[in-house]
Amino acid sequence: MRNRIRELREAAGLTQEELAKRLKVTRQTVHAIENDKYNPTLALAFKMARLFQQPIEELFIYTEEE
Amino acid sequence: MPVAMFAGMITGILFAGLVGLVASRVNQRRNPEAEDERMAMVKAQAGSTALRIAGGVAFIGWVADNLLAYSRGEAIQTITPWSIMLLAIVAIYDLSLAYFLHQYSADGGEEVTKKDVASTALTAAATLLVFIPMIAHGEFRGDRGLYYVMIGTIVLQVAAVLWLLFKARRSFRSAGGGHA
Repeated sequence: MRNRIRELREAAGLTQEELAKRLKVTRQTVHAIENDKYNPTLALAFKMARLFQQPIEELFIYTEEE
Repeated sequence: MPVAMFAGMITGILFAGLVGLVASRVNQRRNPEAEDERMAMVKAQAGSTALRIAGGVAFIGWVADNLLAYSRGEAIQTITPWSIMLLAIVAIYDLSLAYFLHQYSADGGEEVTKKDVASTALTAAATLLVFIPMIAHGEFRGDRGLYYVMIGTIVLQVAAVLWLLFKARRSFRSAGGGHA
């Protein structure tokens, strides 16, 4: 699973810390998601989609080879 | 086992648990977001790893103890108070070590050096108190073999924690302080 969180966060002018606060998670979790080290739960994924005002499939890209 | 030694061990285990709990609460108060979904997953993985390691070490300890007992011409015991104690102590150690390892593999050096080293180190240090009555006693009467197994476990675990701390600190410094 790839994602566009870093790109969208930077476009929104947010730091990892600020995004983490808005999502009520640790900055390390944001860091792990951006680096494809952790796939968030559906609830957190929807929270991110709502925050960036994007459909969820625009944030997370499922790749077949996985 | 002398009553004072047994009481010392129990007090040590309880104290270790208490210090771990206080460290965790303090950390949670300072950083309310610390308990997010990913951290819960890391903790669950750590618990599972710790249980497996503790079981493995306890089994090896039990076999080593019985082999030594057999070589001394003593009766083999299927389960001894020491076996149970060993399992409890190793489980406490392994829980903090496994948590540290899982967190390190999930976040690199950043997370562990920023906030969780204190609670891990405190828990490990408090757990060491468990062994003070034993070390002061000098040896276990009739259980010297198990004493060596336990001391070996402590030395290995302390070495592993120090090595991880060193690696984490280096990684934290090379990341320029850890902030993105």
